[in-house]
Amino acid sequence: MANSLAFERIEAATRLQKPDRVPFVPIIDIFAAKYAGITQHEMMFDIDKADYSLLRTMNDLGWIDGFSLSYGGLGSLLEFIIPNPPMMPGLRGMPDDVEWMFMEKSVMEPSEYRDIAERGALRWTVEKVLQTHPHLKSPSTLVREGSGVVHDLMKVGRSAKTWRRRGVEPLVAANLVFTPMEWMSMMLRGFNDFLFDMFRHPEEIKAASDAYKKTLWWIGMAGVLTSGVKRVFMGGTRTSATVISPKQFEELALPEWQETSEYFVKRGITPMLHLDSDWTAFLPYLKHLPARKCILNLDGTSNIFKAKEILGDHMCIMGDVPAPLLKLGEPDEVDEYCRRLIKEVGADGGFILSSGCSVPIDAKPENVKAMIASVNRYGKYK
Amino acid sequence: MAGEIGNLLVELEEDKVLDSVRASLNDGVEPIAVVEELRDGMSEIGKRFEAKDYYLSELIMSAEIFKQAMEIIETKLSGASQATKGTVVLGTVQGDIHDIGKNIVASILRCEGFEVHDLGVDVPPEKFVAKLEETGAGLLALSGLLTIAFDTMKTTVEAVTAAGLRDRVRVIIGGGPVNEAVVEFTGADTFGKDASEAVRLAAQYTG
Repeated sequence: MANSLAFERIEAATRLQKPDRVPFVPIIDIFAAKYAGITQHEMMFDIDKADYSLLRTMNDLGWIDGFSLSYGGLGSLLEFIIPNPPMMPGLRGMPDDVEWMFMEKSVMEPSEYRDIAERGALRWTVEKVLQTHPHLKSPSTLVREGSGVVHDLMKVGRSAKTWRRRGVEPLVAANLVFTPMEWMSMMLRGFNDFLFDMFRHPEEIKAASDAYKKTLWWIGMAGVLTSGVKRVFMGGTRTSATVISPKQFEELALPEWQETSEYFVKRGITPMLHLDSDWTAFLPYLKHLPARKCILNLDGTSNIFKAKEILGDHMCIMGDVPAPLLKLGEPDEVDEYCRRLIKEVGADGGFILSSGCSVPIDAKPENVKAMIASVNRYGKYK
Repeated sequence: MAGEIGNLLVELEEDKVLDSVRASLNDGVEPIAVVEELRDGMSEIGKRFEAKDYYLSELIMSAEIFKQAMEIIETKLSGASQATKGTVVLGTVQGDIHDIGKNIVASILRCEGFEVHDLGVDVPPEKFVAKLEETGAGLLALSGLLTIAFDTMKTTVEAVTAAGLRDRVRVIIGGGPVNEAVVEFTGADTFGKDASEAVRLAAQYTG
């Protein structure tokens, strides 16, 4: 099958070249569900409905080149693999039509960093998931739920291929990768406890991270093999300059970001660094990541214009129309912000226009329409 | 400049701070004097944070050490009342359960000597109003990460107004995406872009 124009646009931008025009690749799953009238529960647990909602949204508001991370159809996977069960629409008393949210809760003790290092992350994780999801201890339940997750993942994989045939690129499909520190902070220890651990148990964290990294890489590789999409979503927020010091970043986090990026780049896979919170002070460190092989996706909190100055010749920059602007602003303000991004950050190519993190559930449709239209209005390269 | 205990706190020497606090109290140092030393240390940490010499991780760790030190001191403080800098009602608004920012602001406010009533997450407007009435607090701090929180921040401010409290209650909002446009939308007085600024604004409003 020939590559779509959207694919070519994204690949050219990733190589820091100029495609025919700036590609537009938002995170739009939550908004599309709301806009098309399905619930968040339906979006997360039924990929067909999620796909319908995106199609309906694009037919009304304009077609996009691709979509970045989507949780469409991934509800069962998140339920299965996250040791600390999130607030999930339609489950555990939550209404059907609310956004899913992480709970900040520690599910392990500091002493368990050693257990992870000594017993291996995969074994430790399986045991932890069985502790936090005791119903999975029954072999028949485990098989039933496990096969349900595999079934859903295969459907999500087929959906990704269908979108490609339609000319809409699933940027990272469900190919999720976290660095060990990001994973442990978000999924296992909770924000505060993990920060305390960084002061009290740095060596234990290093040992656990070392043990964890391959498991997290394999999860990403499993996604790549299932979807056929050779990009991975690498999420970062807990190791941002909003949170940790440069010293902590250099000693603990940067080696993981480097090693994880290099692992995928060596296999011909593009890491898409989805960095929430403020990374501005850490942007120079990202020069240590492979050149011209990564996408830097910012959420509207970091200074994207500074990112262009510092990293414009090193990695493709993607972002960052802020959520408050899409909810509270007017179409002409959205248009002006997109114009500025395209003309300044996208001046020499190497730029993908996107929402700052997710298009919010309650964005004004006319603002989303203005954002989509801006790439055709301002983004064509001569 | 902070004294020895304050300096140890600034250097985040957790065990040494706690040992020194215990030793000082055993030596008969007035508990209030030890608290003042710790506050001086927190004040220095706040300055370093604003100068970007310290980051959030150091701010939060120092608040944790301060909290543990206060737990030791409070056993000796029996009856000795401490003046508070002001009373703050705080929470994550209805529809949102994100609490990282809220918890940071609450702990730093406590370190700075504020009386903090933390109502938790997913807090409905009427609960904020009831707590403001009960405590007589002059400051309301509302947190939220999702954009839907902007709507409940707005209805919370409206509920405060409807209860006739708005003249005496200043409202600070905060959370990842909050900016000046959100302040205008919600009818709050201002926003804090980080924990340190939220605390500075609180001191300004209650001073």
